[in-house]
Amino acid sequence: MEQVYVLGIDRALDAESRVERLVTDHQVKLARFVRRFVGDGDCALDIVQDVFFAAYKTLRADPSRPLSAGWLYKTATNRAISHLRRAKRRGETVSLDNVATTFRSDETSAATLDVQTALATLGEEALACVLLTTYAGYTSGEAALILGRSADAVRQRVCRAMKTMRASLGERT
Amino acid sequence: MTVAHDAFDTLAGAIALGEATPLERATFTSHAATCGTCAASSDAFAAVRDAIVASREDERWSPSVDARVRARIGDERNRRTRATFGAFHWAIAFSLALNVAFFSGFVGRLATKLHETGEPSSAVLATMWVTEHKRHRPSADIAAVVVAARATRPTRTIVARRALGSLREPTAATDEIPDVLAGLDVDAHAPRRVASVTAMRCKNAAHDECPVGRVVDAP
Repeated sequence: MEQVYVLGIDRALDAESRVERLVTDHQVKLARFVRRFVGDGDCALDIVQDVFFAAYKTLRADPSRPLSAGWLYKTATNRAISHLRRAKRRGETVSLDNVATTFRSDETSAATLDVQTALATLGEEALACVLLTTYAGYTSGEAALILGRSADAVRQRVCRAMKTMRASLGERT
Repeated sequence: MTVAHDAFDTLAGAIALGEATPLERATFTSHAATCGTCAASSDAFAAVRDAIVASREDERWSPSVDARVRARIGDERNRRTRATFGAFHWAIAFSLALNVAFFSGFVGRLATKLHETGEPSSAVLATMWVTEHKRHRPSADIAAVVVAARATRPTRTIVARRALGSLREPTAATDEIPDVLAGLDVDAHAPRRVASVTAMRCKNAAHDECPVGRVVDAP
């Protein structure tokens, strides 16, 4: 696991300074993670901004609270899941071509676009399990803590999600 | 899918994430030898995982949200400052108003005015009446005041009746109470004017045993 995901925060700093440090250290990776989750860059930036602002409010309420990257990923995951569920309730379905278009301007690899298309076929829970483990680098135990599930449940979901993704990737290749 | 196969899904997931122990790998491998689905999927898991990791490495999108977060934090700070100062200003204004009211004597004058303009309460009147009644001391003035109160506030007669009705041991004197108040309850029993009732009671009061006076129906 990379150092950035378990980075501790200096508690001697005030809330604003701590949030600035969190933003500096995690904004790019968190934004990419959320964009993979929701399939939309603008929406991902809104969510990431909300996450950091929530971190600021949390630290302002309790300045001594240890706030790590895990908290950021947990909050971002919950908000991304909520966003996808709201979009589903409203009947907003993002076509696979649109998902690819979102990434086309930034990514050059066709395989990357295929992976995003395959990720878009997963449900929210399975998507969270796959992205937290294989994309963000958390173990199944850590992902279980973030999602409030058991480690075995996370492993099962990863297995089934990979079967689904394999079918999707197989169709495109 | 059976419960037993769920366990193999868990093992397959652990293998895909690189978290399986050698024993778990051996267990899954022996199962995959007899299960075509698991055998096919386990081979593909590594490829899917590698594709996801490769997509992460390929990403070139480097957004920056620090300016937006900083602006939002600034807005929040300004909002809290405004709210704090707003409450502070209101507190100062209220304190000043109170000080002006006390030092100018407005509060004292207001209290005096309230005492002066307060109408005699029917409950107090009833209490006075009952007290006098218990002492067997006639007090025709009280009945007149009750009539005056009745003229201005019709509902107070009812209050007085309730207070009088709370006497636990009626005496010969208290038996007279309903007659007196029946005469006052003009709206309920007869279309008479209060002025005429007042005059009638004053006329009859001197000839009755009631310490206050008996009011009879007009002919």
